[in-house]
Amino acid sequence: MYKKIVPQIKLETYEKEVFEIDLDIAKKFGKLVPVLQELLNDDKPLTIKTINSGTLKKIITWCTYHKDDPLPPEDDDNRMKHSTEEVSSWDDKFLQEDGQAALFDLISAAHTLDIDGLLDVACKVVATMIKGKAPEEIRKVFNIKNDFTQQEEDQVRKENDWCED
Amino acid sequence: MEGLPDDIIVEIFSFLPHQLLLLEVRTVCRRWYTLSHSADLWQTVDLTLGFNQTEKQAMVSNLKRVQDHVKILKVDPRLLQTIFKNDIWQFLTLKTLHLNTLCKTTVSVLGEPNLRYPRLEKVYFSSAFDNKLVLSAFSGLKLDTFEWKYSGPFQQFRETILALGKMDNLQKVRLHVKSLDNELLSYLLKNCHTLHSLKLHFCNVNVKIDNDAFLSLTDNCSLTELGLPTTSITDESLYHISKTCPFLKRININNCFNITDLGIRHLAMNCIHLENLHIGNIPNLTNCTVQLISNKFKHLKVLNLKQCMGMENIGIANILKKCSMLIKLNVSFCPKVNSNVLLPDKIWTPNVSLKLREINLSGNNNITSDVVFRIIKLCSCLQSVELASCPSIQSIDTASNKQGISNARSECIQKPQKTYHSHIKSVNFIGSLNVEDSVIIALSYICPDLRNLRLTGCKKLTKNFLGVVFRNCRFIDLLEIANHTFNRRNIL
Repeated sequence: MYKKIVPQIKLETYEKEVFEIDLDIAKKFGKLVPVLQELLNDDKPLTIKTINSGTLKKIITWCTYHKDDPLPPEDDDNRMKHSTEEVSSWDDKFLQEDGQAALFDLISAAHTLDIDGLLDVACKVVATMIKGKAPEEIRKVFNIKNDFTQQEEDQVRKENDWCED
Repeated sequence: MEGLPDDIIVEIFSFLPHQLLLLEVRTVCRRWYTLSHSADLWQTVDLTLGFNQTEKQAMVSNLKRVQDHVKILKVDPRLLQTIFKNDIWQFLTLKTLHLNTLCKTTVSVLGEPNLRYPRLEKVYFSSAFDNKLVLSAFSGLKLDTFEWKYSGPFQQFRETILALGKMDNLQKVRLHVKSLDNELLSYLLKNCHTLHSLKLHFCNVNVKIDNDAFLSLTDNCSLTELGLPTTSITDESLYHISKTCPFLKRININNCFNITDLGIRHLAMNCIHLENLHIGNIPNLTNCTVQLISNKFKHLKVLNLKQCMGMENIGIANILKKCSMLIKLNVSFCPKVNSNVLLPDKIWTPNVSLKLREINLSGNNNITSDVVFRIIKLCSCLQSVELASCPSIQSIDTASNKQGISNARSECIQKPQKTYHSHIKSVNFIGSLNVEDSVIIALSYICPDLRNLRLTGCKKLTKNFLGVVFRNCRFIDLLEIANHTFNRRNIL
């Protein structure tokens, strides 16, 4: 059978499943690239225990979709970097379709593999989820316990209107 | 969320506006309280955004806490005055200061800059300071960037220039001025050895600057960026510039009526690294210029040919063919450029990949809706299309169109292959009188990421397309047509 002569690298996930990834997709893996390149001719896969198979599959899909993206424009003088506006509709849907837990897994994995672009959009998506919600709602959505004592809570509230003229 | 490490949570917080961090986020739990004060989040503080009273108070009181982290501060000088009133402030890490106001203010609001902001490097004013001492106030600092939008009398401006010449580390200077003469420009070029970038914006038409100003330029000058729009510089001036500044990357000589093809030839011969070229509204330029551009400037990224009447199809086609790095092209109001230039079989062979991100085709009678869709399809990186005042854009033929639409739609849903789905974020049809609903509807199907759709003055549009547009493009929430503004909530 015809086999593509594309250089590939092998990654082993938490479930001990081995994935073969084309090098031109793996080049999105920032700091990891040199390490992976060394493994190129090796038959033994690189084991990354903190990533599960489902997450790695998503990462491969994302990197494939964004393979040919143009590099982000060079920073002009004083462009403000951070805003949640620039998430494309495809990314938005792709990142949210499997629920919150999967999204956080994806973020951790993107962090481990050093995929800047993915970490960026994923964080933007979470930021959008925080926006427009009262603290109580935020706690509910992300399942966070309010661990302030009553005294501390008053203190925090006071900080916001501290320097009244 | 709780399982994520601190630095990722801080990364997420970095996409939230500051007032939200203070009023909501830090009140969620102890961990979030600590993380929302991370130094990384407070390197840039902008107090000029439209805050309400509560937000402003929170921001100002927090400024005290983060004053040791702030690197960039944007503030209205009058607010600065109130803040500084009672306390001794010191921004030890501040490198960039933006001061914006439309009111008259005195430099004294800044206090003593070399004590208060000892590491300051970049200063941006857009204001009417009533004081001559603006620059002497900063004399103890090692500034590398200075920008001043100023519209006061010439004499005061003169003193600013003289003071600039005495700063020995200046790299970037931007001045918005009423007028300038040879002597001053020459002085500036001679005395600021470290200057990389000089941009002058003139409010007057045809400022008298000619060759004399550039005689002081010495060989291998470090200038990489030069903005001299609306001046009377000549081909000979360009010759001096091109001979002495081999590293020039950006030049803006829009509206310099004395320039001819010869001047561009000088640039083409000597400044081969040029990336941005703005030669809009220069009436003498002919197709010769575009030929030179396409043959010589291989690194060109931005090209502005607005209102260059002499430009013809073949020249523009060559530019698209040969300048493979081009990301921004403005050929608005070039009457001789017509649809033919954009026919793929005429110019674009399949091996030419077009990286264009922005194209401006405004004011062209020859652009039809067919052409518009062809461009969108061909330039996969396109993010912004300007089509203002193009009366020939009317409707698109519905039979072929329907198929086009359904194809585009099904392709968009497919994953993960990249398909014909445009990343366009901004389309401008202002004043294109004959645009019909069908064009906008078709556009909304292909461009799901659309944010900005400007349709003022498109008289043939009805309200019927609104629902479709809002449904297809989920990022649009406000749309303006003629004098009506529609928002998502009212339509769906």
